[in-house]
Amino acid sequence: MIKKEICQQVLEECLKTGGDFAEIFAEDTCKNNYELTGGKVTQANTQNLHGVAIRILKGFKEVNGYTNDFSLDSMLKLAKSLSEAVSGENLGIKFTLQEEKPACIVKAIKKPSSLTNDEKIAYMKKLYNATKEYSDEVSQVICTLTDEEQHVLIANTLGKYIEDDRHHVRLGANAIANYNGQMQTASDTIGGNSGYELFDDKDLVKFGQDIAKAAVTMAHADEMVGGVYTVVIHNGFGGVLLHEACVHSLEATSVAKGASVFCGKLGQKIASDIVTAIDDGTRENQWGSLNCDDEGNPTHKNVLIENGILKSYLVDYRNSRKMNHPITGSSRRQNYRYSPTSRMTNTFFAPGNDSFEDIIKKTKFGLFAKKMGGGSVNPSTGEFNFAVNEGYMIEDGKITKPVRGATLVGSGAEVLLNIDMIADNLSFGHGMCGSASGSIPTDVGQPTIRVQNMVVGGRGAK
Amino acid sequence: MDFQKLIKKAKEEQIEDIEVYCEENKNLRIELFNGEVEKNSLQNSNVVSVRAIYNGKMAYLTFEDENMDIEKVIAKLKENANSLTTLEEFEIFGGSESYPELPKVESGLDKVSLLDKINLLKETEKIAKGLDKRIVLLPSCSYSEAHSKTTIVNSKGLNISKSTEYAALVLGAVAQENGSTQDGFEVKVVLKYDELDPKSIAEKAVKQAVSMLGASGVEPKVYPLIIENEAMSSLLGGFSSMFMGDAAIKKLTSLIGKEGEKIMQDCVNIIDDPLMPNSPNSQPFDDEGVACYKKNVVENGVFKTFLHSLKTAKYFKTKSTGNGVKQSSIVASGINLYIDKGNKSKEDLIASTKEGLLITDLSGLHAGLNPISGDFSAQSSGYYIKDGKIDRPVTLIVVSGNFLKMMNDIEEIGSDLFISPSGVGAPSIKFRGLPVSGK
Repeated sequence: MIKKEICQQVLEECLKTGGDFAEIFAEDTCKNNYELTGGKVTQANTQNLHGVAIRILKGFKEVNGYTNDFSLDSMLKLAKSLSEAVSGENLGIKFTLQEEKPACIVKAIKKPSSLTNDEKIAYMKKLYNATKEYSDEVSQVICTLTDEEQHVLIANTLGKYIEDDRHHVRLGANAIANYNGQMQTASDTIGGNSGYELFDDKDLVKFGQDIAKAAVTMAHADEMVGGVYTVVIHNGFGGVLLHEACVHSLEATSVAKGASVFCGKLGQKIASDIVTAIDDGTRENQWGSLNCDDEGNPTHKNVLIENGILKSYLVDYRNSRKMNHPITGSSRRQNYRYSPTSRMTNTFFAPGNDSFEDIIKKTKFGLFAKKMGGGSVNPSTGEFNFAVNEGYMIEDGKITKPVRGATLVGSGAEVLLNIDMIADNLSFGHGMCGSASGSIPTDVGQPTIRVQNMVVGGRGAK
Repeated sequence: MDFQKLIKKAKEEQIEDIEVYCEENKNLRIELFNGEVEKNSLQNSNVVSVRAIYNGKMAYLTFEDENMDIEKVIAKLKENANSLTTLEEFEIFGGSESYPELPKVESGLDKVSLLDKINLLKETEKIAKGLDKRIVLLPSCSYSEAHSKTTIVNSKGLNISKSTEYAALVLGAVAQENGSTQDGFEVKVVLKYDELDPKSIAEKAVKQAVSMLGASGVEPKVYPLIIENEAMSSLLGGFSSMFMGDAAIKKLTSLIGKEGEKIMQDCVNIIDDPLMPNSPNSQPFDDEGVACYKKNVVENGVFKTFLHSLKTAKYFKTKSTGNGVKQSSIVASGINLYIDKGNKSKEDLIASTKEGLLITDLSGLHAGLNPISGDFSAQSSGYYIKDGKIDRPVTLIVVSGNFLKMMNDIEEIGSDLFISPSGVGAPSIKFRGLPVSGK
């Protein structure tokens, strides 16, 4: 994308005023998004991103900027204006850029650019039909499909010069069911850092029927009655609990500033003994996986919590200088417009020894949160919330009536200690995670877990 | 890229109409931590979005590479248009008869040196640290400014531009005492640099953090509830899609066919005012070149109109309300959408409450609400009110309700209208009763 010699020249310019590290991140990205509403194709839009970002570090101070113009003149001008914000003498750092090849964790066979719009829209139509035809109570279905081919170049004054391709595809449906004037929605997506072959391997008909079924069930459901419950959170997207309640607070973004409830707790017990939590960016073709992170470093399988003990934070290069903690291959940015920082990839609880059936059977009274929605956390206080999109009551060890409108709240430090059962049925859900460096694809995952003593909100009356 | 050449070429290629929307941005951002500049960003971008009507369908293409080949742009637009099967009709607009003039504001941003901007941050941090011993950390203290110029050029002969400039100061403060940790966060966005006041920003963030120390839950039951202005505006923001033309086309709002009907209490007026002074969102015309004007969405409780872009207006055989806003395509959106204020101060609302809650923060609304049904359940914090006075801070409770039902269960609307930087606003509102869950 940008020749090695040119990168070398620009990076040298960056260091002239005393910077001790400089980096170029260039990208050329093509995104398409399609929408099918009520059986008609209502959107087919294309977006191209084309920009180069430069950052200079001195210690952990950072100066950064970007431009859309890849010419040498433009990049030198940017490098010069950024270096003016760094004060000092040239440290005389010498480096030679060496071309590196990224690992091969994610690869696309049916690349987005190799398919026509019609071929892509066919996947949406199949999903639409399955979802819409499930029941007369399904009053509307909106299917969305996005694909993205991101080509990146990362070069830095440690001598790194690496190019990588990412292909993100994601297909989803949102079903609206209407029963007696009660409109409820359900949605789900399939996504991967992969080509369109991902959708060939999935049973789109069953996927659509399950979404429709959830919407219809919720339209018939009673309102959740608020209170303190034992909550069984199902596998897959249920992993949003770990993502929100804990791992955001393990990101260097908040830990390096001392702004996390988990600061200074490495080696200490922060979760119940049965809890092992992992962030793994190396899972083949998974939505949150990468061949290399946005600093050009290989992604890792990072064990964050092992048998309840905090083992690692998620750390990028700049924060590693501050925290005296090794980098974890977790540096990510939405695109060149955001400065990179430590983020999650695919985050999940490791499987436990219980079975799903046993967990239900052993729960006398509680809430079964089958499908979770999104949530948020305040890393300073550790207080989190998330929505239950599809819930059921558990009574005398059996799943009984559906309930809607439940919201779970709690504090991250407490909830991890209150997990008392973990099943063996690990699976994943796909989300977009928004934080300091923008919105990025991340997978959340877990086996079914049981949590004691959670505050559940709802509109129902006792 | 030469836009006139693109337009000419497109017409030669049987494109019916074409429009270029060009956005030039120049941003600065400075982050301070413990008295030192930690990050400093200089950002320049130039984004071109083209939309075109081909075979009656509207396609969109956005690009940043100014060397993009014109032929490729046209081919991609045609391919995208050919994929559409929607029955919607589209229009590219030749321009309104006249455009309102917004007052000219001298931002003064370019007259202040970088060093002075850094000093402003240092001062903010220093004041905040000195205000209360229980403040242990200021995890975010940042200054940002944006200069943007948008130009719309199209084959109907329109060629207009609009600019905005604003500065923002952000402060986050963390307070600790007796094992309790709480934080406060204040954002101030201004059109004139001189209006940034470090003292008031520091005081607000610090007060918010400190006053929440020792917060606990409440007995779960139905409480009279005052939702403070900022929290109320985020609630309106979460449900604003119910008033939008796009939601109406997709049947994702319960307000279809209810124009002219009473949907809220008499005292409720919901207004969209794109010409409001002192808002960074104010603009003379929308992103389709349609002149902006102030309008009532809800007037004395009666639903008056959906907000429309050209497309949604055509679908409902009405006129655009000048609310076409550029996202990945043009969608109808509020520009400065707010619930109008009442007469009583927030203090009066509290004083008239024997037992109740003042809710200052609603979190997780992006996930915990259903914009179609109006239902929501949100993690909340605030204060317990006893005998007309604030008694103690409360946190980790869940407030649940239905937006439309609530707007029919108002006891009193406050006078403290707040407009968020994203252009959604509300005063504090007291509701007769809402269910609250917690430990």
